[in-house]
Amino acid sequence: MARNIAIKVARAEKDMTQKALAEAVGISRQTMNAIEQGEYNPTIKLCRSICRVLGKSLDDLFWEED
Amino acid sequence: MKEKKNRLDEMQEQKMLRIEHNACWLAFWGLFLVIFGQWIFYGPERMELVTGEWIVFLILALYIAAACIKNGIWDRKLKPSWKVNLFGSAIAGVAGGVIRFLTAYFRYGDKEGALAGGGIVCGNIFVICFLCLSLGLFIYRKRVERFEEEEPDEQEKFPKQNRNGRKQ
Repeated sequence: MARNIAIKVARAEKDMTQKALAEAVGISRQTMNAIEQGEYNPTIKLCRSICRVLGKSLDDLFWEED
Repeated sequence: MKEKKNRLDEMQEQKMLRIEHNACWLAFWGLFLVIFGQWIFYGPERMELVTGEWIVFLILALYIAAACIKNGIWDRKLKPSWKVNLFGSAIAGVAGGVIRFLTAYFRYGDKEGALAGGGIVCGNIFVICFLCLSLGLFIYRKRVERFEEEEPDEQEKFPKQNRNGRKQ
């Protein structure tokens, strides 16, 4: 799985640390890190929570161009 | 060797994991009840009858504990703290002591002896549980610290930085 740069960029735009984002969506920092590194495939429920906190759409954060 | 293709789709895979999860805990508590039942009915003198069950039970328990700690997981509900460990160990100690007292009392009818036995078992279980949990907690904390060091958050290292890399 490829690294998720979009989340990292959206997080930086909001000036949020991984820890702050993880706390906002109710997960551990390790899990947040694994999502950004592409090591963990989150459920759609968690994806939506991340999108809501970062003010982005699913396409913005999770769509991979071929 | 070439790995065989998974024939399950996403949902079936989730259900399979759930089934395996239930089977694992069924085996765990089943073994616990078998060992416990033997202890109640035959007394501690005949525990060699359940040596096999003990070994499987301990391997299962050790695997679960080691795998959780390795992945930085403590428990779903309980906080990783020595106070919780102390409370849990006390519950285990009291439960073990009461059971030991009752089995000894009904078997031999000697109240003082049963009380002394119950007290010793209670103390032993409490100390062993607390030591094991404390050791587990120590390793868990070290493991979590290591995760933090291995996977630093760049935003944490350079706060107040926008995506152009400029400090605000």
